[in-house]
Amino acid sequence: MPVYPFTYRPFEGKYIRRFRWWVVFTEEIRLWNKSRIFQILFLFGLIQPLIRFLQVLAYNSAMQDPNHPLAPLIRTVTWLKVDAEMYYHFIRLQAPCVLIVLLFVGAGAICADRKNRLWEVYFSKPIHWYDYLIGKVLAVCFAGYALTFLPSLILMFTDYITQKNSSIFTLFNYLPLVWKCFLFSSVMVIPCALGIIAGSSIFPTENITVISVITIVIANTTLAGLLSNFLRDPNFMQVSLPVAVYFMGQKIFNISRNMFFRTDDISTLVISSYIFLSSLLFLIISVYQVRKAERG
Amino acid sequence: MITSRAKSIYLDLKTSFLHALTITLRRDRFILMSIISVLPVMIPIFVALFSKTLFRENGLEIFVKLCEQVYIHTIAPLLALFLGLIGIREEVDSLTIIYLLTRPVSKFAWVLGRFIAYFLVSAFLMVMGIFFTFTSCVILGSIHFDTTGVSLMLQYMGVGLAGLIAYGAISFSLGTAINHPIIAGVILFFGWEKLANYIPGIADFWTVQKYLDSMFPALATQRYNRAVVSVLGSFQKELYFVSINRALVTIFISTVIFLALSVFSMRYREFTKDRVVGSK
Amino acid sequence: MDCQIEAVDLSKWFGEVVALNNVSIQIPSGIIGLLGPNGAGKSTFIKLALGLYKPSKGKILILGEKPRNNPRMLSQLGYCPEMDHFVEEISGYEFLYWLARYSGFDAKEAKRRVLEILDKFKMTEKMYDPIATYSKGMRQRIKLAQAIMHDPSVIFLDEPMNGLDPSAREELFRLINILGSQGKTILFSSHVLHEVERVTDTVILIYNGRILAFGKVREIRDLIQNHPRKVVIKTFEPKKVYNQLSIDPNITSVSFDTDEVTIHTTDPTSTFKYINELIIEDKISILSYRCADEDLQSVFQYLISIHMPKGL
Repeated sequence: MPVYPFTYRPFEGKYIRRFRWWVVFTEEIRLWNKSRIFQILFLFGLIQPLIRFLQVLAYNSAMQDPNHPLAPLIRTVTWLKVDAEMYYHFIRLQAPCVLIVLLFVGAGAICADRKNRLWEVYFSKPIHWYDYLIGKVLAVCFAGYALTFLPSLILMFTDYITQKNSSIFTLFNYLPLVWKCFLFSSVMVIPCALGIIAGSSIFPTENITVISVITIVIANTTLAGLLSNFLRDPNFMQVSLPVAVYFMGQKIFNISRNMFFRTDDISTLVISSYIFLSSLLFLIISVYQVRKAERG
Repeated sequence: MITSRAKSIYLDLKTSFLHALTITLRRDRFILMSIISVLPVMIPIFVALFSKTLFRENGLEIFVKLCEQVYIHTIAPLLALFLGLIGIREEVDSLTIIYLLTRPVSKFAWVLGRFIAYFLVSAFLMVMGIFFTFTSCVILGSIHFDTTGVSLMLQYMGVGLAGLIAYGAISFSLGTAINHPIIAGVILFFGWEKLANYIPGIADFWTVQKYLDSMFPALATQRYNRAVVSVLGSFQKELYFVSINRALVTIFISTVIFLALSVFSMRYREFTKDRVVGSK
Repeated sequence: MDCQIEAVDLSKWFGEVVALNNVSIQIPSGIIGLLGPNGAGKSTFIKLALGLYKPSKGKILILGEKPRNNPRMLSQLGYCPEMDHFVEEISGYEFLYWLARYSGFDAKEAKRRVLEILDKFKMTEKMYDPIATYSKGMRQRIKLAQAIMHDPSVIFLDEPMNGLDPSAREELFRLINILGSQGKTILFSSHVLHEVERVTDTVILIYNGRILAFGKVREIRDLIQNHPRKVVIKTFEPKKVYNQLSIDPNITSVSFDTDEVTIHTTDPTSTFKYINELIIEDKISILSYRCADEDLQSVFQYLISIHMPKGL
């Protein structure tokens, strides 16, 4: 009987020790990228960036040409102006689209894996709970940034290249605006993504996750509106997560519209703590659920 | 022949109703919706305990706002999505629907049986919620357990039930007709409905909310001022609202249409998901 | 022939994929095996017969009637799906009870039938446990129970042996034989020939959405026997084995490698006999020999090559 000395050939490649979440991240993006519904929702979310793109083109061409027939009109319409406030309004108005797209991509992120018993597959590989969770959260955040921060960058670049007196140095003038857009996008996208991922880790199906998240957002906003109305105290509006996010956006872009009775600094502190603590709570829920799954 | 067919449909309807009822009442989402439905009861109590200002709203104003903004505009669509749409979708997504489709059940009876079960459960939650909210608003004054107060409560209960019927029928048709009904339902009920009401007279005719709003007791918070009821009330009705009768007829017809669409989808769609190797 | 299931130019496609291609067949009563590899179109055929799918072209009739949206016909059909589809939180009893009610029985009769069938499948002890806690075999038994509890005359079993342990398989073979002896028509799909052989001698061979053959298992066996088969012989003396085997008239081709010889034979029985004689007479020494293509796939390939016009 022949004896084979090398019946098993050991793995000769390199094990990935860092960035193992990348596998989960790319797999997640690949999955929802194949869905036609996602493509439609995402295209729907790109309508506003397209309109803003035309706004930037029209504004810059009219403002730099004194003989442009539309110049007097565009000068008088304040909401056509391309400035930092425009970027604030752009990201703010993207919020409903961001919520819908994030719900679509995030609601099934964890519960579908549990339902299809993919946890056993993932955790039998050299993937830790944190690789899994980071991959999922980043994938969902990526979809959010793709609708807020990335279009903002494109708009800024369009603004830059359509300026007649632009040079390589004027590009640096955009850096504070880039930072502001990134911050506001993060304030909007990260709590939303973490909330949806937490929901997905608790609830059994994608459908229940979507409705539960929507219920929480609506209940939270309705409750805040009613209490501030009934008690004649606008401070209660801070309970509403969307209002809190918009308020943070106003602070980031230095738009002074204090809608609360408290002084601005205290409001900022309270609201940023509220957003941070909510996000932390969502993260703890997700970590608890995924770690529990990893331990089996 | 007709009698035996009718009897068979009645038996299918009864089975479908009892099945849906027993399943729904044992679901976690029923408990969740029960909690959500009674949560607004806490608001008047909260206001009574924590209000420091003399200018806070009175019991009547709070009751009206809670009924209109919370129960009818928010909880009714949520109940339709949670108990109506997910109930149907659960069967479709888990593919247990194939057992049903290979049974001699009338699709019309099945859909109607489930719809009645959904309506009874959600109506119970809504009626209880409005009743307890009314009771807690009585603490704040200006609304009492008298003929006027109870009549106002009953009117809001009626509008709430109409909302449940209309939103429920739409949810049923979404659940049977399309592949991602939850996202579509959320966009429709909480996106389109809210957005379209900013364009009165054109887009809002394609929302349920418009017809429900027109069934609200006219100027409920001002109803003691007869002058306002007769002049301003009728002016608003003519300009922005459809009449109650027209609203009721519209809601009834749209319910029938959406339920028919649901039955049609059940009959003609292919619900089994497994495809041959290599298919998309 | 008493035709129970009749397909006329039946086709079903999903987008660009043709799942069933112009099938015309008349299936008589009795136990019939539907045999084909995965993705052949077995489940699609069954789902079309149950009315779960609408034919893209042609028609299918069960007992002379179209099954889709036909309650009278559906009351005559039983179906055990291939996949596990359950509401996991409910008990096996409850699952069967509601399906019995949907089959048209009143509460009392439904309860009686469910208890009877659960007893038959030895599930009485666990009947009130949630389905989520059931093993694969128990889930399979529940699926089978729901397929037959309303006493249908035509039963479709889609890969029913999946997940069953040997004793449960034996039990199921016995049950299918009993149902068959009661005059019911049973269409039993599988991709394993010997499974089908245990319950019936009549099979339909289906491959790539087409019916390749419909007949007795014996005839299929003959096809396996008759078409040239590939035999791989492991040896330290490939050249010597090559020389000895080349003279056998049944062997159509011989090739050899460093430690093995591959032959194609038209008569495997006599070739194996010849090889054994050579070994006994010590003319050759070999380590092992095996048929490289003695499976259904080779029969399918062979049948396709018969059907396919030359040059394609």
